[in-house]
Amino acid sequence: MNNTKTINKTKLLSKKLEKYFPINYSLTQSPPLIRVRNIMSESQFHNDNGYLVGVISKPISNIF
Amino acid sequence: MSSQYFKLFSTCIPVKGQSESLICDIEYGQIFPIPNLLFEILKSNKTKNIEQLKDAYNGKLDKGIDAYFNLFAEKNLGFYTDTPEEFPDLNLKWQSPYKIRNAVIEIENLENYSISNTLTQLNDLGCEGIQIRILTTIDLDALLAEFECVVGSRIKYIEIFLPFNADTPFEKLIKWRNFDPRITKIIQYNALEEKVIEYKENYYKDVFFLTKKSLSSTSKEQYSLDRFAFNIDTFAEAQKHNIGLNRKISIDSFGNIKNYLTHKSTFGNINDTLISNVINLTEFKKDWNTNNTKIEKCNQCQFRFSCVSNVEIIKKNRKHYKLEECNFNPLTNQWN
Amino acid sequence: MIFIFSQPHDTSTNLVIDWLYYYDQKTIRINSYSEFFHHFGTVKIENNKNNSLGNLTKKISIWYRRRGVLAAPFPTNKIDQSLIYQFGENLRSELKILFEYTFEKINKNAVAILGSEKGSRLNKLRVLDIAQSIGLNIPKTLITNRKTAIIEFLQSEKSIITKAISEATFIVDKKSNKHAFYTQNISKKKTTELDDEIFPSLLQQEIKKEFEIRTYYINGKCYSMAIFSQQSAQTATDFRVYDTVNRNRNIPYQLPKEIERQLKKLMTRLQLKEGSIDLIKTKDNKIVFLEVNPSGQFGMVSRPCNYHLEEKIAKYLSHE
Repeated sequence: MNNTKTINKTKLLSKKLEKYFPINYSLTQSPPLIRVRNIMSESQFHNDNGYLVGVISKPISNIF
Repeated sequence: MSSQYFKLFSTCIPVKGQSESLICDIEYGQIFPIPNLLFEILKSNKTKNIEQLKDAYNGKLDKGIDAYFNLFAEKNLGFYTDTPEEFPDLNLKWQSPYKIRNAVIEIENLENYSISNTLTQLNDLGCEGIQIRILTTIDLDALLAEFECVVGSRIKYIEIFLPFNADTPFEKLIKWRNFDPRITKIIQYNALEEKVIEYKENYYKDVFFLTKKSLSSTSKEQYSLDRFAFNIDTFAEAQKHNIGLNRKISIDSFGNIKNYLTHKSTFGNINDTLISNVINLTEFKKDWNTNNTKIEKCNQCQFRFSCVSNVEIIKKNRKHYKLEECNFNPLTNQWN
Repeated sequence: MIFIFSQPHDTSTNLVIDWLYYYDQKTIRINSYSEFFHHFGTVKIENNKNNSLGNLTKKISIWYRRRGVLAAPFPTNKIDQSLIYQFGENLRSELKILFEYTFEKINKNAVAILGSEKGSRLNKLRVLDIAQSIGLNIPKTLITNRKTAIIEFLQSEKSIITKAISEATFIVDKKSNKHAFYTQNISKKKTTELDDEIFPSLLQQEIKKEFEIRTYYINGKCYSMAIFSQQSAQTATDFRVYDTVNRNRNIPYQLPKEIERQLKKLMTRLQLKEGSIDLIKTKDNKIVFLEVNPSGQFGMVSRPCNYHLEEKIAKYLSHE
């Protein structure tokens, strides 16, 4: 994922929020609100008339 | 203000992990990592308004609660309301009219078994997605003839892996893509570079990919954040089913029927066994309902309702384990 | 036996048929004029006969999903261009009588019917009137051709909108640009620009909404969804103008039981077994009824709320 900018910004945000919680509950290093690859939009196909015919909702296998 | 309730939208569902929790936004496919303490707070806010929530933590978390709820509202993950009872939880009941949902088909040549017959059977069973793994350089035109039954079928998605061959003219691949829009991805492995081939004419997205990676029957499952599926269908299925193996069937290059190519057990050969008979075998379906909540390590992981893995499941002392472990550690929350 | 009148590429029809197939229900989908006549092409009317249609069995179910069937492809190449319109009109009126008779016979055989062969149009004004008589809140509505009446209405209601009396549709100009008739705000400035007498238009007080509610009703049951759309100004008046930045939230919603009872009463009065109902939850916690769309898009409620409505429709058609 190439959202370094978001990561930096949200890390800052995490740091800010962290101070409101007890010290032993550290917030994650990963950025809040991560947009994940959308298999549904990747797999959808349209027929010749432009109609959306179908989508699958998950990868069949994750070999690559 | 504080007699109000805060509610996450019911499609934004908190999932607890061993060291970190997650809000899974299964409407828009995004995630929001949260500390486990916040998970507990969000769990109890179903019955408590904001004031009562803060009281429950003796006022020690007032600022944190306010900051997080405001952030969630701002990020469009939740909202303040006086009438929380109007917003029921999302019903996570899963059901599907497709007796088989996806299939992996390995092809070495056109002789070992009938590909067109296999595809026809899969279509009859409602199979939505098919992964075709071609292991050798074979006659692409002759293979295409086997796909006649795909046109106008119930099949929704086909991805094709084939070995890169410098002698194969690109036109031959275009012919595949033009054959039917269900052929959505054509991936050439063992290539010299990683590349998406720009060829969009009439299409809605990229279809042709090159990759240096290699492929075999023993190719292992990969795990990373961007492979997880965060959507309602998968999340609901994962509540009671194994989202890798449930309603999946695989055919190896010899026509052997398996749950997945890397698994040891076979359930007859496609040359003399009907898929519709195989999927009625209790033994074939034995792990369809072994969801991640029932598997050691996975049951501690915050990604358990979105991680699609086809790895074989083994049973030891009445506990389920995956034959191969993944590269995420839910105890430390670290990727290896 | 189940007959589905639809059109090609209708995803919701596909999904319902997937379920019918799963439950081993014999289903015939009719997408076009020629498919219709393939099944119901020969009608015999004779003396002393119970003139039922061909080979229809007693137990059939029908789903009138879409009206694609009636769009007959008229021959255009063989006739004088100047006669095309009149010729078309003539063929249409021939077909109208035939369809009327055939559908009457088909319906007589049916044990379950969803939708109507007459299509999905309701008289919205009549629906509003019935709704208020049942006790549902409706927006104050004015249909007028007079500028002065509109100005007065705006003054008393502060904020008003205009929308179609019939259906929100669009027209296509010579350059293939689509011009849609969306629900729109009427500003004070706009009212002053009007002629004294205008084409009769529907005006409604603008309801300040907390969120919209879309309810899919089938056979006495309500499946509701809240649409939080006021996150940005763009989607404030009509959520069909899609907003890609601040996306709508679609979540399951439970209507108060009293409202559900009233909606059931309304649908019964309108003789509808299914339909999509638009409502608004106002800022001051009221639920306001807007309209009913028979044969509405239930997919957009079913999917985000995981209601599996396609399966419920299949079950209804299999009369279970």
